[in-house]
Amino acid sequence: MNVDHDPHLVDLRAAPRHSLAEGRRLGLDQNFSTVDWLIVAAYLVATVGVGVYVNRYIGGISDYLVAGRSLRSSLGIATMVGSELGLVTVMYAAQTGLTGGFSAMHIGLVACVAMLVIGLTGFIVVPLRELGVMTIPEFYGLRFGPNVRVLGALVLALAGILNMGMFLKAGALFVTALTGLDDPQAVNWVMTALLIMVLIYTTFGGMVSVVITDYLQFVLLSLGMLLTCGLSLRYVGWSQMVSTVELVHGEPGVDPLHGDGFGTSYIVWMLFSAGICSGAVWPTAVIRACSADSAATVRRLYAFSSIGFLIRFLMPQFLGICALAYFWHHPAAHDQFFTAEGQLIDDSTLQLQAMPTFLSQILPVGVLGIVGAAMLAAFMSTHDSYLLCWASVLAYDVAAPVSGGRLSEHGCLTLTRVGIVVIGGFLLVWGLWYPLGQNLWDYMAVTGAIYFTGAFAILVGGIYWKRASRTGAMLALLSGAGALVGLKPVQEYLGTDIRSELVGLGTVGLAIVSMILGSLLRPDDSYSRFRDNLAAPPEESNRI
Amino acid sequence: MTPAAWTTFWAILITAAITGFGILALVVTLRGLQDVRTMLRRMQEQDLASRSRE
Repeated sequence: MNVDHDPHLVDLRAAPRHSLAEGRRLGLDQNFSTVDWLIVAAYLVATVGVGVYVNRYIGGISDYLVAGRSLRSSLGIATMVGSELGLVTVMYAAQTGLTGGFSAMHIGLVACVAMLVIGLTGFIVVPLRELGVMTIPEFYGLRFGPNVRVLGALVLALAGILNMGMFLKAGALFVTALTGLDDPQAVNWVMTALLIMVLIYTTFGGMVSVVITDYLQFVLLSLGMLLTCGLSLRYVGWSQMVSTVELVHGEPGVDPLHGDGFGTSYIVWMLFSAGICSGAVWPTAVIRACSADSAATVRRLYAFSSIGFLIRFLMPQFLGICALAYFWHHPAAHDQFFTAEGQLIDDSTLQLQAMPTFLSQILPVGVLGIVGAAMLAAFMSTHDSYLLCWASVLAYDVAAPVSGGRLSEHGCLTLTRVGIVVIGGFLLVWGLWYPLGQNLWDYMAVTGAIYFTGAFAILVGGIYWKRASRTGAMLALLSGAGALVGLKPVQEYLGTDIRSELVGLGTVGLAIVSMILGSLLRPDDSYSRFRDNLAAPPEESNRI
Repeated sequence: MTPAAWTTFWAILITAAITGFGILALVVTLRGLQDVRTMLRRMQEQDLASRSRE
């Protein structure tokens, strides 16, 4: 479709009021300058320095894993938003904005509502905080015994590490598109260096480093995102955004309930996966609740973080739509992103690169550096939390129970540090060779579902249903593996093509039914043991 | 809802979300710094208390 002949649209080339630096941006130039690189470098050095410096405050495993349970509301919100608004989130959310238009914003909206409800009711997270557990599998152990704890921890770590597998790839695409680094070797080295920096400060300072660097990253990220959205809107213009979405996506681009777009089943899946599970079941979010200084702080943390959960989708989607409008009107780049029929080219890598490429074209020198640093901050803040979470689960909930109490607190701490480095090495390899082949967000939701479908059934059953038994918990955990069917390579192997939301919702149903049937058919005394365990002194019930 | 109504809805949501986040970011930035100091002080106190018990 030739934009020059479309009567509904105003060509950006003829709209100088939107231009920040007229005459400079007609081609896809690379504008990332030495000043921008210096801003990024200064930020990275400061972050790693602060992260390593706080190592002196680590006194024991509780300091390392949950920052001594001394997290207050504002810092909790900063670290929650800093972790969950990662670069990979920005990338996949921008992709959904590009491919789904304004309708994609329903994801942030339902996530916001779910977080608000969790904050107001304390659903799952307040009971977990009151139990004083440090990880979710620790709760499994208290409620259902060591076998469920170990299996649950293995499933959690597997799903979590797989979920994290595309972070480096998304980060590399961002760096390539924003900075213009087109040498694959150079990009790989940049990403490896970033990962090593995260490994250094997370390994040394644990949760204390994570919380403080997350705070710094939150400050920079907020500034960067707000600045970027403002400048993008000024450059592209609201009317251009609306008219381009209508032209490319039609009615499904604004109506999320439309049958040809996302549809009701997808919205329900998002309410469950991006809302309830991201907030109340996903361990990197729950660990904030476990780190809070009181149950009241947990409620405040979740209620206020609902705004963060809204904008973690909405702002990148907004940028994705700006990129859509920008490239639609761009004389040189239009054909790179759209088919002759005016549809977006179905290439996940290309779609992921659209938003950072757009930013590289419209942001002035200096601002580009701040945004680059903010996004790399987002990359690091997610990596540190996730690495710490999966490594601590493997050490604390797998190695420690399996060792039969022979693993000391110091040994557990060392094992966590080793785990962080090993997982980091795995991510480098996995991120390079796994063929994505599908929307990045769907990959994230499906790999996450391997864990959270079973975990949701176990947490709800374990906390709110006295008759929940070990057999039900085991079956619920195992049924989460059904979510693997949602991955494109697995579907190609099986010769099927089922929408990811249907696989996800089906797996949720299977886990809940497994939990109920298993508990009813094979009841046990796990609940009474759990009550007895809670009555024991805290040192007894919380020991490794 | 008509497409025009949906567009208005998204415009209101975007404005409210970005404004709300701007205010939240400002408050959290200012109060978070105080929380960092409190957290580190409390951890130091806990560490000293556990050392003195030993």
